[in-house]
This record gives sequence, C-alpha cells and structure tokens, in this order.
Amino acid sequence: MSLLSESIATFVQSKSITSGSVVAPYINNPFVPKYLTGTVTGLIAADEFKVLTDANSNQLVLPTNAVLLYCKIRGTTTFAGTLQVACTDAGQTTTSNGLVEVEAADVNQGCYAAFNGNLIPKLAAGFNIAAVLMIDDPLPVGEVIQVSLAYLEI
Amino acid sequence: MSLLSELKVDFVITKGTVSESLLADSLSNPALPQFVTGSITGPIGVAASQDFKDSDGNQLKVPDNALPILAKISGTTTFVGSSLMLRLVDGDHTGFYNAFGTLSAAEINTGALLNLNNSPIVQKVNVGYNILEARMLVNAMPAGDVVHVTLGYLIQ
Repeated sequence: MSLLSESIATFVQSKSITSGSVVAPYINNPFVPKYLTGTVTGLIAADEFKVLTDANSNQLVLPTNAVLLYCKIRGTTTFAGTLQVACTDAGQTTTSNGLVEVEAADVNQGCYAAFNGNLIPKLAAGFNIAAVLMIDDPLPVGEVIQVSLAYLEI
Repeated sequence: MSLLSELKVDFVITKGTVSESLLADSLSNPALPQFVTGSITGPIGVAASQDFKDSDGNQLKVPDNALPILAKISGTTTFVGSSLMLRLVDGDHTGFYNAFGTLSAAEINTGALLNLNNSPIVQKVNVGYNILEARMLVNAMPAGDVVHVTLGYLIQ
C-alpha cells in the first residue's frame, strides 16, 4: 500500500476530519444528480394518485427548478395495469411531469424509469410534490411502493 | 511531506463534511459526469456556425474518448424557430459527427436540459470530432444574444 493510498484509507476510516470536503469532481458540476426517497402505501384507487412521503411522513417536495432525470421504483405489489411517478401541486388536484409507466413485475424486481426524448422537461410551475399515479387499476391495501427520484437543478 | 498535505494533492479541503460515500465516489465512480462550460455570442448567420468558447476564449473541446450524455443550455436570445443545433466538429470545421438536435429560443431562455443520447448504447465521440459548435439552421441569431452551454460527458 502506497503512502497516498494508506493516507486515503486512514482518511476514510477515521472520519475524523469534520471541516473538509471532497470537491474536485463535484464542485459546480451540474450533472451530479440529487435525489429524494419516499413511499406510498395502498390503497390508491384506479386513476387516483397519492403523494410520496419520507420516513418522517413529510411530503417529497422537489425544488421548483428541478429537472427529473429518472426514478428507481421497488416494492412488493400485485396491482394490475401500470403506475406512473408524477408530481402534483399544493392543492393536489392533478398531476404533471409524468415519467414513463411501469408494471407490477417491474416494481417487484426493482426498476428505473426515465423521461424519454431529446429535451428533458423541467417541472411544470407549481407542480413539485412527488406522487404515484395509478393508471386504470388500484394499488391494493397495504402494498408499499418505494420511489427514489433523481433530479438536477438548472 | 505530511500525510495530510499529501492528501491535498488529490483533494481540495475546504469547509464541509467528508462522507465516506462521497470520498469513495470521487475515487472510483465511473458514472460521474465530467463537464465543460462555454458560450457563444451573436450574430451568427443562417447556416453559419460559431465555436463555443470558455471564459478564457479557448475552444470548447471534449476528449476523444468522451461519451456525451447531457447538455445544459441557457441564455437570452430571440432567434426564430428551432434553429440552434449543438454539434461536434473536427478541427477544420469541414465535417461533423455528433449532432445533438435543435433548440428554440424559448427553450434556451427558460433553461433546457438536452439528452444527448437516445440510442440504447451511449455513443463515443468520433476521433477528431471533438470541438463543440452551435449552428443556426434556418434562422440567424441576432447580434449580442448569448447562449451558454454546459456539456456533460462520461469517459470510457
């Protein structure tokens, strides 16, 4: 082990330097995604949506300038049809910014869903609360879907 | 040389908290994009091009083994139509290889994120075609209008 690698190993293991940061590849890099993780629990009726909440039951709220890149979806579920990760406004009247739709089989094995197309859309103004929308079929009672949303701020 | 000063060769120590995962990422994360940032200023005529330049006036280039993935575009411009194309050209500006689609002034003015790869496999830059330029396809960019770009790419 070289002196440098030994130093890095010590640096990692000790975590004793509390006033420093590793910045070289990250600083001002607009392409390092940020993320939020939350869950929804059934019942969600067909064609209805439910807001994602974190471990403290807080809504997942994205910055207004966020650009959704993709999301990781996983759970143990039996719903028919598809679900969509989307965003809603404060009034929770409708959704916008839908990502591609996924099926229960995709969710159960863990999957990523992303926007398609050349231009990745920004969040519609005011629609920055993450939600899960059930397309045509309900999410059964007690079933849990976990979603991690990766986004950029531009 | 002390251990800490040797660490500074690779890491800039400022204020904040070092996390184990962040340190590990910075050392070995192959999916962490690198990026270049530059701008162009009008006028650019119809069917004419201008190379993006960084703040020192240097051409914006990506490495020959780069895999472009995302471009962040912003600015203040009033050109007509979806006329601005981002593309990579060779040193002679005689050919281009990677064309990244076109943008409208409205998309640029509100800040756009352009996905540079719709194919299943991310494409490498063709060797020698690594200079980023903007080309106005069917409409001109007015004098004084500015467009900024940040191009994100991976290294294979």
